[in-house]
Amino acid sequence: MTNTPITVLRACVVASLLSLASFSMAAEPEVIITIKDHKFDPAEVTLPVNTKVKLVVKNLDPTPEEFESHDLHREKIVPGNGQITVYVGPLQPGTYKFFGEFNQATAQGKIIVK
Amino acid sequence: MLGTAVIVFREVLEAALIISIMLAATRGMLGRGRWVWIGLASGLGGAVLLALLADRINNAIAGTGQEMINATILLTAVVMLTWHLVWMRKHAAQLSQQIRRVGAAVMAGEQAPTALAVIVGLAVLREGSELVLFLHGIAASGSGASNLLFGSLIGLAAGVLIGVVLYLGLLRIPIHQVFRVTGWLILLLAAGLAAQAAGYLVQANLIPSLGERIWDSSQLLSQQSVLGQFLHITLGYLDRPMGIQILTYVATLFGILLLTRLVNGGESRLTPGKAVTAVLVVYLTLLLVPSESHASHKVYSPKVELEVCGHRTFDNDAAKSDQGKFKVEVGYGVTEYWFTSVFGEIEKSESGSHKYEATAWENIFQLTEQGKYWVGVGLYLEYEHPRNSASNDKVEAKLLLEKTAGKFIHTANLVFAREIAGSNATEFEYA
Repeated sequence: MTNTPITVLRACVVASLLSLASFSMAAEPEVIITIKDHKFDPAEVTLPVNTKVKLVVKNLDPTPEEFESHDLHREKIVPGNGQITVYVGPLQPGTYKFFGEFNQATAQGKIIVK
Repeated sequence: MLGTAVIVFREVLEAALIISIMLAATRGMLGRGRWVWIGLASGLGGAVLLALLADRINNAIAGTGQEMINATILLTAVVMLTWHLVWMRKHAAQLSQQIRRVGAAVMAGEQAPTALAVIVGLAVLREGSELVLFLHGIAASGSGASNLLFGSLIGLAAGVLIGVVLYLGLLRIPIHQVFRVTGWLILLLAAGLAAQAAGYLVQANLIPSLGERIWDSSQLLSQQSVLGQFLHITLGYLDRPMGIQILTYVATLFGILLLTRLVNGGESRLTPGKAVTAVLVVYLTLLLVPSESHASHKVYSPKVELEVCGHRTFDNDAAKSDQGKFKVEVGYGVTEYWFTSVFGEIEKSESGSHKYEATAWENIFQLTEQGKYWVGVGLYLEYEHPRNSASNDKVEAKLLLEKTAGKFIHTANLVFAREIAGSNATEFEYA
């Protein structure tokens, strides 16, 4: 540093508008979806806006399935006769499709957030 | 049958592309073929094992075993890729010289081929275990065995074909540039894998998503299309990324760049930096004294922020005195963790006139919750575009560390700045 000034006066004015932040950490609501004969039940799930939800997917079929959603960026293998937990959200209002990757012809479902 | 082919194709594609890039990147290395086969074989073996244990893995670690395995595999791959890059940076010049001189096979150490085998193995492992489960499921459900076999073979062939095409394409790059090109590819690949890992950790509820969908370009280029998936693997393209994925991507990118430069150093700029590191370590150790830990005075809850900043110099030397800079900034807290703002810089020059200097885009990510850990960590990214076209655009990244001890707020910012184009010098400094 060649030109070091003797004094530097620094002044900053910061104006913050709208400093409202509400943040609560309650336990996530839980929703159960079952897979039977390569179909989801319920195939349509309604979830609250802006809330983290715990999805439990139970596979009643003997064959494995992959619970997947491009809209939600989720993918998880559900073993035959097994169950998994997937967290989704907080989500904006809208429709989010999910499907079973191994049986896409029948295993289709959607999450509606409102 | 078609369904089987499509799924097999998708799973094979990722592994095939990673292997292609690695093969091109290790061009001319003696005995690399053997290491690739070792990687492939152990990857396949591991995939079968992983599929057999799927049930148990699922239930492990509070039902998030699967995500943990996926994230671990991905992050290990990132580490191995980084290692490979660091190693290649040292040896690339020597390698390409030798290849030109001798022709093909050259001896070049044993370390990188090990990394090669691990990367290949991990790529096969993750995709392979899904494939094994899927095929097992279809076979168990009693669909025709010949259909299954035929579909799988078509999918496998298509996936491998794209990998081969990419490899042949990379081979066409002139030898003196091939390591530079594959180096960038591996860097982007690693960043993309890290972002994928972040996605799994969000799914397991271990880290916040920082926004579920920062943008949506799925209409423009769906990640499920062949091109979208190709770009997803090679460049890390995401059509609907989470905030944390963008952050991880950028942080990995800069982290690896910084690391390769630090390790292979040579630049004299880094020497004073090392001295400061020592000081910094001592400083941080002092802070380890247990105390109340509520770090960071930066609360990004204000939705909108306006900031006017200025400084002015006073000096006996008239030439240096009465210079100043003003900054006008408008910012917006998108989430609790992400604050973005745009600012303009106005400089008062020696002649006394005010001049609009540059426009910049600044992003601050708060990585840890305030006061949760003994030091608050944040990431700062800035892109500056000067008005004067003679100057270059500049990217600046800072790792913000903040600690409140008693009445003092300690901040340690690691700054990483790079001018785009021009000299391409990367500066590293501590503040």
